Amino acid sequence: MSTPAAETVLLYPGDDPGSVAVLAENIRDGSRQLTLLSDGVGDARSSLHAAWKGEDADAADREIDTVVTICAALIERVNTAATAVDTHHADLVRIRAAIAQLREQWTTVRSALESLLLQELFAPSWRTPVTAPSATAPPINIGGFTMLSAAEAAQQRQAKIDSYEQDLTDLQTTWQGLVDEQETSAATCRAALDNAASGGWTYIVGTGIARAELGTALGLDALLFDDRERARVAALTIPGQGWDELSPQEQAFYRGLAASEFSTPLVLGSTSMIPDLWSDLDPLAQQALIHDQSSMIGNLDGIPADARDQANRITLDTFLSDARSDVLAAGASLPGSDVNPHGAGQAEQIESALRAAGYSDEQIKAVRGAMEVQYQLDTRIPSRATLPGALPVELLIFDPEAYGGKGRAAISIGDVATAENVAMLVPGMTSEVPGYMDSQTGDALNLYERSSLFSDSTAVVAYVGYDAPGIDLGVTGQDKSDAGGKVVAADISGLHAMTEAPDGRLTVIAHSYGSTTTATAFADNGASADNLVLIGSPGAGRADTAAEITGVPAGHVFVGSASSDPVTTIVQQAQDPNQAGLTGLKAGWHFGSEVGGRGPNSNIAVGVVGAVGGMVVADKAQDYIQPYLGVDPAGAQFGGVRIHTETQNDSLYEFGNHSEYYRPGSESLSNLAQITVGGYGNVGVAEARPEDGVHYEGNDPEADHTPPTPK
Amino acid sequence: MGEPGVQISPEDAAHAGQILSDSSDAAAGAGTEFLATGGTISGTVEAGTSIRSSAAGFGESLGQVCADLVESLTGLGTVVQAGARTYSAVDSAATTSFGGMVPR
Repeated sequence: MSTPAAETVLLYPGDDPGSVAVLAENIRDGSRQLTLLSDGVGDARSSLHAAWKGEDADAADREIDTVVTICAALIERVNTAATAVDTHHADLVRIRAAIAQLREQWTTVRSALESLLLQELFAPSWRTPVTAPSATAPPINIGGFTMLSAAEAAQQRQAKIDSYEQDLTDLQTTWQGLVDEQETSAATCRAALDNAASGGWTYIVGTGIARAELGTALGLDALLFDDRERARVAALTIPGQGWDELSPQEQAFYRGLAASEFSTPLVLGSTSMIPDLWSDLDPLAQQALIHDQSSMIGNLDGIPADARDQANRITLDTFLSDARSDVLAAGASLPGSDVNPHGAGQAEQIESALRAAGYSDEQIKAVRGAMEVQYQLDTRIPSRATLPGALPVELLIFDPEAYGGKGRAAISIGDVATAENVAMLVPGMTSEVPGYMDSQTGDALNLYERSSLFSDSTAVVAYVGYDAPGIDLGVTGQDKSDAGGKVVAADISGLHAMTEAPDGRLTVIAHSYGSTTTATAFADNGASADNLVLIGSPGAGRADTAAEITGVPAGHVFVGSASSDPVTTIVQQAQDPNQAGLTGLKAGWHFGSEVGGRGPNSNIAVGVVGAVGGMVVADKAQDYIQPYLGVDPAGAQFGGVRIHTETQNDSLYEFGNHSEYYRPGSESLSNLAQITVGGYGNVGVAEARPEDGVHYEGNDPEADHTPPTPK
Repeated sequence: MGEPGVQISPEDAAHAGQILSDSSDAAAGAGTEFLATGGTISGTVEAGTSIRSSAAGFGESLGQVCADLVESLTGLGTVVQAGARTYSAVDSAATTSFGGMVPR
């Protein structure tokens, strides 16, 4: 019989203390890094507070608050866990030391015991008592030594064996106590770790991923978007409807998605990526951008028309809602969208209300412009009885505060995305959103209606988008048209990105100073279209010939200049330094005569005064008209295709003739509509003006053309 | 007028965004440490019940939280930086091309 070794009986319980020490150190390292994290986030918050203000900044600040709070809670919990692991480690070390001591004792006892057992095993048989020793028998004494009898020796060995065995049992009992102690220590440590790993907070990270409680449902499985599919379907089928279906956490998620899959790649890439980035983006992430950055998305080239429309309407509603609240707080009110803010007396009333709210001149203009846009969308266009009931109307550009409150806007009558024929109307001088959007929309409606007689797939864009000159010297030079040419070219490019019809046709029709600007957009700024029409043009800007307009197919630069339009005649000719005085003289004569009221033959004195005055004014004006607005595109030297746009009134001094090109039922409008729908064979082509520039002399062959009476 | 939606100093905001992104490194370090705890207990269990399971759970949970923090701060930092850069780029491009497109 053999006694087992100490190592096989007195086992070390629990985990290796060295490993537990490493565990504690790992946890403390984590805690230290969380502290660094918390400090770093605090620094970032200070920088952010200095750098960024507004709703988005507030949202970021709240997010940082959350992170800091979570960091503090984590650090506390992690430190508690580290302390518990440290305690457990100390217990393990102490218990192992005690067990090591027990093992030493075990080994000593075991050695003694085995020695005794060995003696017992090898004791000679002759020493084995034959009979049991007598308890009364005296011991044998030899030479001073007491000799035990064999029986007595056996008794003593057994007693020692029993004692040693009891010692071993006691050692095992002590060991069991230490094992139990280790188990208690481990249980305490486990509870601390489990407690540190469980949490009661809902964590919403900056990129918007909602997490469930820690320790129970970590990971993406915690994304419990009950309404996600419903919202997605709504977003796909009813633009704009899905967003409001989402919870704040879900909205935060899609904001993060939009940032990582659209904004960041766009920043790191180029604007040419916009169409692909947008089309690849989750519909709800698109909605996040539309709602959060409506001003940018609504005017960003490369974004589809429906998204721009939705974003711009959000901007419009928000902008006017803010203004109405401000005015209401000042004890005044603004008319609703059923009232034309450009109507009689309305502008003054609106201005008065806004001024009461402390608005500046620029802010007043911006609000008036926004109201005028809203009136077009809500009232004017829907109330046009001749339009189809379900006609899409899209707000493709909207920036009410551009150009000091002059604003930028583009309203499409018809869906530019699907229409086979798209026309964009560019206006001339004084074209600001407040006060001009109504007129521009009217022209667009007229062209849409006429075009619809020839095609059922048309969209016409009423555009007021570049910084047009007012009634000032800005209109006498090309500074404004040069700057505006860049804007118009970019907006035409943006319109191209919105059109999706495979064989679609884009026609740009530019009026008056807008023709100067738009010709420059094509000649110098890379604009392209299927047709370009310059009507009522005082000059073709930087395009000296139609051939220079390479972004338009040959033979598709059209020119509409009524022989009675003073802008295309008097103004055009007055730009020529060699003819300015003479032109002024003639214009002044006619003007003076008209003022005289009885014609040149009956009031010669007034006519002479007018003629002299006109000549002086013309000569003076030459000081400012440098460079002039460009060649007359109706002239033969330009090389465009002149079309019939004659008016019913053939007086050269009737400035109203400058605004007859879109008159309903007119030959001019019909020709514009035929160009728009590609009915080129039905366009009435006119003879160009003579090359020597003497058309003002009554030498314009088109003066002999009699237009049919408008129907 | 209503409060402007955005007032950004692009350079400062980008700097703040960088700090946030950098801070995520600390969270990533913490997460790594926590995740390592599960594998720390390497001694043979000779008796009783070890803390291995709890340590592993602790490491996994805290590691996941730190992963979330990394995601959060990287995302927030990226958003701030991207916002600043986008604002700067779009504003500059808009001013150049359009005479100003983003409301100020």
